[in-house]
Amino acid sequence: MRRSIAAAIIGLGLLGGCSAPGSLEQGEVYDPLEVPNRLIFAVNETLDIFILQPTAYVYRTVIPDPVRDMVAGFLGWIATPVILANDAFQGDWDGAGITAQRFVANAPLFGLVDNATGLGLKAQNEDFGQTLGHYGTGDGPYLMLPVLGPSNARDGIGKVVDYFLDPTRYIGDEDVNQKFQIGRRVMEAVDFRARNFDAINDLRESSVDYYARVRSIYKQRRDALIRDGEPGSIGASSPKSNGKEFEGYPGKSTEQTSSRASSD
Amino acid sequence: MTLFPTSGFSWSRPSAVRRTPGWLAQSCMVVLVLAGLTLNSVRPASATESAQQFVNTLAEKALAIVQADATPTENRAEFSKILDSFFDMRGIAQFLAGRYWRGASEADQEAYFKAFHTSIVNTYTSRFGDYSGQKLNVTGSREDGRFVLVNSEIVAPGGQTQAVKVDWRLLPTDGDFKVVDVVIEGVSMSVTQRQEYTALIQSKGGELAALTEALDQKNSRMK
Repeated sequence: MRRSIAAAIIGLGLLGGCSAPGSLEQGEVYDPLEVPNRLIFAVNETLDIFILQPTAYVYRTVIPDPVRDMVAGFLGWIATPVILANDAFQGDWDGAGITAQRFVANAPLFGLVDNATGLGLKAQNEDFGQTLGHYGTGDGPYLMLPVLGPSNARDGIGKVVDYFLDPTRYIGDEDVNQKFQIGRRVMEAVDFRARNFDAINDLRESSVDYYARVRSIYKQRRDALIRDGEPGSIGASSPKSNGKEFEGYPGKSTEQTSSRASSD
Repeated sequence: MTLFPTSGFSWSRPSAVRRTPGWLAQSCMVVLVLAGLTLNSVRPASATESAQQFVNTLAEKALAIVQADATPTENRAEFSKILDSFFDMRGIAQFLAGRYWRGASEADQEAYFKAFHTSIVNTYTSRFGDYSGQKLNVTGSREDGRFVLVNSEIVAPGGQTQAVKVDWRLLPTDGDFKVVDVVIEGVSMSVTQRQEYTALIQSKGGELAALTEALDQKNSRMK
């Protein structure tokens, strides 16, 4: 099952590499598979509403804050080797140093207590999709993955590579390990949903086309992560801004001006 | 390219939000007149500086509303005032409608603007309850074409959780500014909403009125 999904993703990725998105508006996401994507999105939404959201709700209501922090800390700690590898692949030696130090600093308690962040070692966010993006690979077609959620050809391939890169996969008995890996991914999903519980619900409730909203947010967020290895530096701290999107912004030359708004 | 072709004094604000005492502004003017020829070279720096001040003022005003113990109706009215004096609501509305703006009749444009305005007010006032003592710190600014970008961070009270980066895209207007976009952790609200709105219009036959209808439905449900 997993293999066939992987093969499908790679196949789609190759397709995406060939057909360049032609007439896209600035900021638009290349989504030739929109119809099946929307279908999968609807299924994922159903899974969220009936399974993930209630689970996350119980999790954050029943489990006390410090315990949830420990869970998140442990999940983060076992993810550091893959982050370290991608820091290195991108030639980001500062980031690699920080990630390595984080791993060591948090090792005594398996990440349950996050001492590293207090020492000024901020958690890095890297994966192989970002590494590909760092070296100029385009997004490819947008993909809505079953259960896993929004992605694209590049990040789908990235996920597969990260999966094989992960050293925790090769520890101990294969059967036990597989169960551990599944449990880990489930916990990651529950933890993410619990931490962003209201934010995600707000996002969904206030939208008129939730699919299109998620699609745009996913692309911008990934672009920001790739650009600097650090989110949110789209503005003044980064030489590149997303200003191109605003070239068509209505100006004073058009009939609509804004001066009337401040008349009170 | 000058940012303020008409006024030249970037700190003069609409009366509702004026914070600089009159005598101060006047003495500053005297200094500027004395500075004479150097005016052109100092203008960019002061433009981004006053942009930072603008964001600070906006944050103070918004915080005052969020912290006030008011009814939802009062909150909506107050927040609506802030939107109108600090945000380029008409320009944003037009930008979000993308290429479908031009094809619509004036009546359709006006109906859409009203629905859009209400939906923004509803969406944000419904989140006032989430506020738990966060603070906004302005961290920098620079010019970007005809806009000014101001960087800020939202910091939680304990400082335990990581700061959230928020960037503001401002349009200089007659010596003041209007917010055009808010970028949270690299995600632009205006670009996101534009993608969402145009996707909806496209799937509903390319009429702006379809978006208005969807927004109206949303608005009546969120009341």
